[in-house]
Amino acid sequence: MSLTVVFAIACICTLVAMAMSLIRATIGPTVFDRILAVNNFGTMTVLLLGFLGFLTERPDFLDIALVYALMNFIATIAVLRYSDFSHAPSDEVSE
Amino acid sequence: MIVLTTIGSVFVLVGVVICMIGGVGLLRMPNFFARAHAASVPDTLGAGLCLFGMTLVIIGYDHPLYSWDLKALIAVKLFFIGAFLFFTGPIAGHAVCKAAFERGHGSDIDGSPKSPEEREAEHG
Repeated sequence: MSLTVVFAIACICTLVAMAMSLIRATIGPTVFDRILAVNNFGTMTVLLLGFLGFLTERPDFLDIALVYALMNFIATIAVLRYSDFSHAPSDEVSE
Repeated sequence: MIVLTTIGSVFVLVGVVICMIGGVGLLRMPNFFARAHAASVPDTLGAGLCLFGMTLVIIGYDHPLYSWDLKALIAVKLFFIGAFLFFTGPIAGHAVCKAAFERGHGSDIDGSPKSPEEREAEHG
């Protein structure tokens, strides 16, 4: 099995996992499920960028993956901080 | 060198299978905390295996354009991505669970949110 086939399979599996976490982000039911799903989606995106870099033999994609990993973490923590310190009632935040 | 590439490919495939299992768990689990547990698996184990496999693949990669300097640079980038995901994934998962717990998703089985009054009545 050549490397191209391996990384193509890896890309497809990652895309399937991304689709599943997108479904979870859409159906909820709570806001924390959505945050969790988006966080997972970001991790999958980092992996997908790495696989794409290996698939197309352009290792520069790894720089983008590194930046995306940083941004994903910051975004998750920022949304959670907002959720912690905003004094909205629980029902409003949860829906 | 072909041995390293083959072992790396196996690591990558196992890693993406674990990522897909994590996605299925995120979709199918009944409860928020069960979903959080399933979603934190690909953050560490799946991504770690994938990036370790990619490191092995690039070290064993045989191509005239890929000098050892370039291979070492790619391996270091992969290591940094792996180290970063390894530390930030559990931190983000912990933060999500802590926020959800403080918002009153304490011990519900069906995943429905609870009002603070219900939680107060349960825990005294």
